[in-house]
Amino acid sequence: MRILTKEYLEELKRSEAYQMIVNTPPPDLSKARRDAEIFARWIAREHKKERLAMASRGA
Amino acid sequence: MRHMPPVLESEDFWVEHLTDVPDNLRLLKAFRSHGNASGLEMYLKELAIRDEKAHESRTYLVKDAMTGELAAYFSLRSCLIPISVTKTLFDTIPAIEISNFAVNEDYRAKQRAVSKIGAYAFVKFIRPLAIQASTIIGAKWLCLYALPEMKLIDYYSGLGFTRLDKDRELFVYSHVKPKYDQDCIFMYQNICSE
Repeated sequence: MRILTKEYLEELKRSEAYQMIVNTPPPDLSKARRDAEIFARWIAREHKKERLAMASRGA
Repeated sequence: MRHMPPVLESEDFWVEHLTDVPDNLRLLKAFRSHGNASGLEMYLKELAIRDEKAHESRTYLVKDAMTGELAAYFSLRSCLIPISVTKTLFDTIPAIEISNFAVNEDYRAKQRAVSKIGAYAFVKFIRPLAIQASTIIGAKWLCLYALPEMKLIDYYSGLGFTRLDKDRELFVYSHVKPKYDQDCIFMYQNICSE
């Protein structure tokens, strides 16, 4: 079981490690989201074309 | 054709757990990874099922909703990241590891105009699934071990991953980096900020 003693917690809180654990910043996802959006728009257009082609073939 | 409700879906793709659909075993055979990432192809074809049975990781397939083609796959597993507190004490950070992540080159070849499907799979499926898992079991970081290639490190940086400082990185390597990840670079990002 994970039982943390008061002494350990105090030592942990004084450490740089603790600051890192509690203050991990949120990731910068701006590029990933931008790229994902470009792909989403592109694939939506491609699927639309495929659906129209299928409809015109009477599928 | 879908056999089970997908794990996640968008308008144009859905995500299936590898062993939920029997026909997936046939699909795997046609998966082709990028030239210098043959290990990722080998993992999917030869080891993913073994890891499923051993409960060591879960592999998910990203499929095109229009054609059912296998577009990409990724594997997730739980892990602990050790972090030094003092010279004699260390603590651990619960995390979820992306142990494998690859795009099917045959699928990518079809869509030369845009090649950002990796970012799409990460933003739409991998990170949300990791966040969902973290609400159930508790996990603070999403992490991976990247092959030591600058291009790849830059790619993962673009997905929001960062490296630890050198000492902490070495501490992780000395405690938990397995043999098969030798020379790979540990990278992580917060998943408890949303």
